[in-house]
Amino acid sequence: MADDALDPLLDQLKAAAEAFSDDDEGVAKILATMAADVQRARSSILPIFPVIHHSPASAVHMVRYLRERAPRLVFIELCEDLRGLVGLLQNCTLPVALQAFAGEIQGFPLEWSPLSVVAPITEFSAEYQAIAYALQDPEVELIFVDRSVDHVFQWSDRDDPELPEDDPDEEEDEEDRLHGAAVGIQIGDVVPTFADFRDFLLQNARMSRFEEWVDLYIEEPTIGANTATYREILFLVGSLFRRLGSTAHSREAIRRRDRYMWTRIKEAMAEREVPPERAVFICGAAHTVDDDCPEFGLESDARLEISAPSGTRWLYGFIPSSYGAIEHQFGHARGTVALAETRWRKALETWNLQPFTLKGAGKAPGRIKKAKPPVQLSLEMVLSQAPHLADADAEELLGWCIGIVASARKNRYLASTADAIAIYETSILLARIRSRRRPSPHDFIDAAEACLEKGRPPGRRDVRQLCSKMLGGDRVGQVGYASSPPLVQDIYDRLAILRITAKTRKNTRVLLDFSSEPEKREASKLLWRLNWLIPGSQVAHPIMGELKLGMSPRQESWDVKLHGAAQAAVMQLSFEGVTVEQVLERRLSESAFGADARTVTALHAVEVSLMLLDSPRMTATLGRRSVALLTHEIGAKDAPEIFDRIQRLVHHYRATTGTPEWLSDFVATGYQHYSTQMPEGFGDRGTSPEELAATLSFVFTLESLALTMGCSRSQLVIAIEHASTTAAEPEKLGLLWAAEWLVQLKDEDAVRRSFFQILDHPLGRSAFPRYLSGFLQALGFAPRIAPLGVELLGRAFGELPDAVLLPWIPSLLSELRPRIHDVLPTLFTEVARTLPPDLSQLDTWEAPWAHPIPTAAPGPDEPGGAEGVSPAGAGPAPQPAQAAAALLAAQPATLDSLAVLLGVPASWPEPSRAPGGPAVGGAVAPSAPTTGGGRGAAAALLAAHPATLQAVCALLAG
Amino acid sequence: MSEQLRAPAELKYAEELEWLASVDDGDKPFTWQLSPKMVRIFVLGSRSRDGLEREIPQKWYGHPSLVEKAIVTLASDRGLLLIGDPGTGKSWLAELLAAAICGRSTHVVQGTAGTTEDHIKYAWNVAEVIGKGQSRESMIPSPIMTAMLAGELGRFEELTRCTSDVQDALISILSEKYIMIPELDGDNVAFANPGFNIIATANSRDRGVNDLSSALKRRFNFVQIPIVTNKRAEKQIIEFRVKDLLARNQFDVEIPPALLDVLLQTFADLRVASANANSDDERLESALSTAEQIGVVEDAILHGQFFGEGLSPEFLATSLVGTLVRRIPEDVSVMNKFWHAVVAKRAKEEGGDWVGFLKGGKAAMELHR
Repeated sequence: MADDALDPLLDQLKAAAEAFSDDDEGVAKILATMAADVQRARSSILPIFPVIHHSPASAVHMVRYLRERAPRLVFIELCEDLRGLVGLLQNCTLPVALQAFAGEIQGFPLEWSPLSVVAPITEFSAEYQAIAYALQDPEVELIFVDRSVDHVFQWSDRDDPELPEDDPDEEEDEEDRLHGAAVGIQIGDVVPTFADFRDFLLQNARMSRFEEWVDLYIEEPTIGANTATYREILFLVGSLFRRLGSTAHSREAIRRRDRYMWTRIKEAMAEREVPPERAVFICGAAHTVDDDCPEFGLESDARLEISAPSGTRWLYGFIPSSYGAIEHQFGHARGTVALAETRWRKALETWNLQPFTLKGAGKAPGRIKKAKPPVQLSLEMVLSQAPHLADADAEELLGWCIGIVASARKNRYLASTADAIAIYETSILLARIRSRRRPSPHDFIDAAEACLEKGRPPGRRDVRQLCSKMLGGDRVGQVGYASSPPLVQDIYDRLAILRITAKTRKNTRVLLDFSSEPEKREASKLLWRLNWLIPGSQVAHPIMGELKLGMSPRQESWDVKLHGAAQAAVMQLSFEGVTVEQVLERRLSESAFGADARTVTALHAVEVSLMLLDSPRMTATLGRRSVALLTHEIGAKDAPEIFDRIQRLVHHYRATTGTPEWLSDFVATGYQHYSTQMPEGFGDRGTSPEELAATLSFVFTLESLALTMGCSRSQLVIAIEHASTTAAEPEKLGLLWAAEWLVQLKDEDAVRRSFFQILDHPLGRSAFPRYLSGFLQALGFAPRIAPLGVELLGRAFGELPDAVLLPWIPSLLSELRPRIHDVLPTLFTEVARTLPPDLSQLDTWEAPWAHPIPTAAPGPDEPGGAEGVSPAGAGPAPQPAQAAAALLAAQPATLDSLAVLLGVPASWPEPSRAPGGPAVGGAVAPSAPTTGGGRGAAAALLAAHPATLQAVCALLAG
Repeated sequence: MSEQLRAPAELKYAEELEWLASVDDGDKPFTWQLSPKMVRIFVLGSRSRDGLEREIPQKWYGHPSLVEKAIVTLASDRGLLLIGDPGTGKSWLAELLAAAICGRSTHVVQGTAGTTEDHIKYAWNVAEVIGKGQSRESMIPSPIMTAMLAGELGRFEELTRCTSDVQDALISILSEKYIMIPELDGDNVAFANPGFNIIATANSRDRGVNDLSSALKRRFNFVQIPIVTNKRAEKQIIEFRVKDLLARNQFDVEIPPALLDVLLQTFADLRVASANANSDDERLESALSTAEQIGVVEDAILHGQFFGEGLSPEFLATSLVGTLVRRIPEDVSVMNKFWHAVVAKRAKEEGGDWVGFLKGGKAAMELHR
């Protein structure tokens, strides 16, 4: 095997041996051991075929070996339980990854969950060539012999389960993340794990990347050598790397796998009557060494006792892979896999090799018109063909130089023909200085970078990335329909109406017009479900249209992507269920019934269920869960969100099917729960005024429904009375006064006087803004307090000293800004009503409150509300309800039209005197029309259906 | 030992260069004194695979491919522009390359805001001109012109500190390889001899101040020199350079490895803090380069040697604070925060030299208050 072309490699290996031994004797010992290793591997009864991951040389020699020897039994170093998947490979476009996934684990630390293993397959890998060879001939049996995926984790270090690490400096595309957080499995890993050894090799060769070292010293000399030489070289490399280049830990891990594989091989051989020489064992170079492994070789009878699986239920499938994802997963330099593919295609063309392919997988070798028998080339013949190769290489290099300049120009670099010339020249010079026979892609990339990279244009790829793209670029695989799990097949079936199939390899923009194509509504629902289940992905991205409770869209527009990373995301769903709906139900149940579930998460699940699931049973289950969670809710932290959601749900149900039982229960439970917690909330410094305001909003806004469910208002009144003894913070007191007003524990004048006492008190004045802030919070559920709120704001701005007022204004704005939907509209309406409509009236305008308040306290039964707004001596103050009634009576056309539209007779009965004030739930509909006509209608309605009132009377009497 | 305070590389390593030339049987471009492979060996040191009888020490630490790119650029038609942060070894690499390729690294133009076209091309000896008129004899050639005439490498330091019109004077030199002297009637073209090329350096922090014109960019190959962040490589550089610098003071000091680790870790932490800072006021003005670490160690050793009992953690901290605090009070504030948040924590957890280091730094910062 001695040959000039291999001298550099032998020099490298010898130098490494010398560097890691103390003296000449040590070197001789290492060399003797290596020679013995090579001899042992060569003479094994079961032929061993060493490979390197994604190595074109390995793939080329694999093809030659299989064509020449035609083994009947093929053993491969891949997880044994992944074997069942390979039959489906023919439906896929490579690269794809075989995946094993376990969502629920047993026997492993919980923090490892979910477990996932991927084994990416590319067309130009030796293992794919062997798989394709075995699958196309029914007489050939293919057996995976490496430890199962369960053992991958059983044998992992508990503290370090070999999960992939991220390189924060690496710029990543979406396709680089295709494998997610899965543990990668690859056959023929060759990178030395002993850092000092690896560094020595790189420093000695003056290289920075190990891939480059492999390229120069293994790939280049072996790809053209004969297969026997190739095998010997790899045995040699495997021996040295295993014995010197591996840490003790990784050496032990390799040994354990060797023992496993040889045990499985012996079991398989014992069951079959295939002579060993008709079989082949394909494994990484490091596994060809008998390194204290009793099971090594068929000559030994030793077998490993293989431990039982952990009990974890593993699911298997495919996900699309990409060159970028493979490089990211295994820490290869960007572009490495693409370069390997380029070299593979070139080798096929040079030696007219016919690779093995599965029907439908990978690119068919269309360029090879006639499959010639493989030429068994000796090293001498390869060397004699060098001039031919040199010409081809020169042509290829020229093409690269021109191509990269064109690509750079497109990406806004200043690049010209002069640059192409410079890159060509620099590549050759670099190859010479690096002792290469011809410029490698690495030399070319370095040259291009030196000549073109003078500052990357913003938003564009750098020259290195452009080179990598030009030399092959990333390639993303696709899992075919037949290889997809039921869930994914179901998605394809249901999206067929949108012309999206498993063969679609581009983003699809679809416009759905439901008025003309109502049959597409189901597809839309599916897209919304996918959008919710895979948030942030590009699987289903709505361009036009939104998902809202009760909304029925007429048109929608979507961007749909079901290839590449998007397909991988959908494949992951299939591990959770057999249909999208099942996965959705499962996710909602998990969120509502999980250990950390809260009322809001359950209510959110209810909303999602209503919008996406069409399953009243599931919605009711989730709803009942939310009621149960509410009873255990401590504090009012989630009260604002709970109120928002429950209000939305009440409106939705009232407008559709009527309030369901669970929702009525929720409102009643919430009313009692928040009433009970109110005194504590007012006294607890950890509960904010906003949270208290939300609980009060819940109680007052939904009071009518709660009372129908048997709740008693007295509970609320007592709670508020009790709260007045615990509340101490100014904001909470302001809020409490508003609540007291609503339940008629105070009237408007009493509230006003309370504020004036603060405002007039020299020591209390500085706290006035805080009281007022709390009071304004109540506008969200009690719009009727708006006139007093505006009056107090006006007085604050007029009477507070600047030292108090100015610091308060920014905080007032920041407090009100989030309340744009509830507090601010009411406040602005009232302000607009109170202030002069234009500047010309400003001089003569007088604030309605610019007069002293009456000194006498009003009687206990004097009603508040509109009648109480007018301060004594202020003249006839505007009374909104009466003014509005008068206006509407004078201009009845608008309401008449509305009445006709609503189908109500447009009659205007004589206005009757308004009652003293709302008896119950005054806050519920204070802004409802208070015209005499409205009340007359209500009276007529009550008269027509007296049962309700009679029941209420009986209740009150009882 | 040479007579100069700091001998240029070709004098300092004269014997080594001479030996390399004697064993060099590779092809030499133009009039190069060494073949490209030997130039690489001179800069990066020899390896066993080179098969040399004597060991050549490494003189510049960094990615080998950068040096290779630089060497092949000089053998091509284009000039070489080394770009990098301050203290990344650009000038040192340029000097080594010039020394190895043409045996002379002193044809240097220092770019400043005051550099004029005369500094790049030629000037006149006024007395000679008055006495004898304008002639080749009364002309004062610039270092670049001298390099052209000799077929050697000219160096242009801090190219981007010069204004654009001055920079553009290089365009015709790099393209046509000659300089016109219109003041002369005859013999008015100074042609470059084979072997001439230019090595320029530019500070990446100056980017945007005087950007190179597109025409000039096209005539240079850019080689970006990154800051060394690999601790092992950084350690080697510091030890190598500090020993080299201290040799001028006639003494040889071993830097305690534990103390060197403290320095390297502190700089690594400072770089992280700097990268995470939200504004310029929250990060140190310094580039935190390896050269600054060399400066810190040298300063601390000298201080310890002359005013103490050798290198100590306290001196190291004092020197570090003194080197990195440039803006007062901004840098003091940044350093104070760093010292109390990071160094104090390490001193508490790891003890050892960190304790003295913490104390020395605090004392040094007191002086800035």
